[in-house]
Amino acid sequence: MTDHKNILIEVPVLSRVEGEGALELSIKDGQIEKLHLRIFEPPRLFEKLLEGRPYTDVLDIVARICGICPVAYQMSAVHAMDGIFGIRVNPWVRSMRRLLYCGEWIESHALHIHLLAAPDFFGFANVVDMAKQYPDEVRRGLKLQSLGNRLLRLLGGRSVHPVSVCVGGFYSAPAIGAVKSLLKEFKQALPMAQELVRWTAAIPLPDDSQPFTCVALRHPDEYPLNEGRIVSSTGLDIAIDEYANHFAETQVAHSTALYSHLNGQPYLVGPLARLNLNFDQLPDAVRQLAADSGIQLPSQNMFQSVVARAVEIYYALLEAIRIMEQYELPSASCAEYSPHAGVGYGCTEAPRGILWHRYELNAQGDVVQATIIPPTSQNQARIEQDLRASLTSFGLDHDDDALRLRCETVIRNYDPCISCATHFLKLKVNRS
Amino acid sequence: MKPIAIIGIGSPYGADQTGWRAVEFLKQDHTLQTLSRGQINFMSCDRPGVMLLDDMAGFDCVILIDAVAGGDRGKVAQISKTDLLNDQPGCSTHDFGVAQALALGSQLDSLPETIELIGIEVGDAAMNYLPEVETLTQLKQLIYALVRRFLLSP
Repeated sequence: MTDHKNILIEVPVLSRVEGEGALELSIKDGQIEKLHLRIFEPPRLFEKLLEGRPYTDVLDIVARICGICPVAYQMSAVHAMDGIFGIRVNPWVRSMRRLLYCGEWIESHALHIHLLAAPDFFGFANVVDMAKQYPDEVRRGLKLQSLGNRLLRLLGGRSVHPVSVCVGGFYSAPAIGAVKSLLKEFKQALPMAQELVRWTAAIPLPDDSQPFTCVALRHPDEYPLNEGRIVSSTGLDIAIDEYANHFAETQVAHSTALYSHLNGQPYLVGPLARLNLNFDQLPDAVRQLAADSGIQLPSQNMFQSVVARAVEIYYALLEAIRIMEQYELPSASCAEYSPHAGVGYGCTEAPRGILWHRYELNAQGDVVQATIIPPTSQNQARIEQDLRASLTSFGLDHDDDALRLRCETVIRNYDPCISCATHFLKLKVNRS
Repeated sequence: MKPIAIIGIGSPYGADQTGWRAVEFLKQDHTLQTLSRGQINFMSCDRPGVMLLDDMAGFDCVILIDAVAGGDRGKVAQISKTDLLNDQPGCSTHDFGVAQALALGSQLDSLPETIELIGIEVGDAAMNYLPEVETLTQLKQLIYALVRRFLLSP
């Protein structure tokens, strides 16, 4: 450890992210004087890009916001469009949307656990180094990610930026044979997902419980993916169209990205928030495995997010199997409707947390106004809050490399789109 | 017959399409199909990242074709696997490229027996370059040689 009173850690650019970001940390006389996480997000540009375009363009455009969670963007948007046009989708469409989302959760969570988070917890620089000591675990992660991608391809035509989702349903239905074939592989993968839960639960994670508010969707009959009310650990329980009455986005001087607050306070969205608020909605098999693995919920230790992701992978596999076992070709893969003017809302559970959309269309069905609030934006204030608490708890007298690694670990733990870039942080440290 | 895959890596944008265009060109080549008795699998991958390992699984020989920034526009170059594996992987999800995927595959012992990487240099033509006929012809001859060599290997 080193003893220095004044430290300035600047991460000038978090590159190759959904926009650009930076981290600035100043420590003076043993106290954090300034901590600014800056993320410059492109979704605001997408909102303007959508204006004036026909509603039929929206789903393909918003999918381009993220290469890892394009389904989330499509699902929030399609529910908003369905709402405007008064579409009540048939049970087949509802199930297929849920199935598609399962694919995205599996691939996104598997990628984050193995490529981003786990190397931090085991002290490796990256997954290639980790694979030397944990080859079977990395292979298992890649296999699960692959299965998620294949499910996306089955329903979406391709795994990145799928093209099958349309307002009211899907352009086409997968063949029964293709579904049955994938179903068999999903069943075979169940032991892998169970092992993954046990493995993550056994990782010696930092013990850093903090007070924070969780926000997620909640549905009376199921673990939330596409539908539900927005609830919080502090008693909030609102319809998705009431979001703007309780949540506010504000501009801060050090960032062009907007910060979201719930009643003026930071909050958490994402797998740990979902699990904390919806554990009772998981099937018995998932709850039993969690209990057998020693997982205790609700948890206020953000580092447990890696465990929450593993639990959700297991759930998503089971849910996908349940849906695929009942799969039949539909009489219609898409509802009929007539476009008209209106305002609609969509809020679904992206892998990283709730993704809220609002659209206003004119009589021709062209977008008049669009608002997209992604989970990374919602978690931004919470990440800063966590960094302050985590670094203080960790000890500010650690050397710069240790502080940097702790900052990166905390940031990556939220699985923001900047998580990958933090592997490349170059630190400039000024001491006085 | 040993399974062979020719994989074009890239994206729909600008010169990054080069690998895809090359694969489309090679797909139409009757000599190549005759040479391999129609057993070559052609694929185009959009920035596959770590999933490149999945795409290569099950093949004994994989030929990867990708655009290479810089160099002499249109030049076809073979890149050795050793050189690639010596590249320091960063392993970010947004920057998990061919080198990183091969490094991970090597670590996991999951790479095909033979991997050949062909780079087509695109110079500074970031937005507008598409491979010319001369480049594609040179590429085709190189692919013939690689396929012949692979088929004749024990």
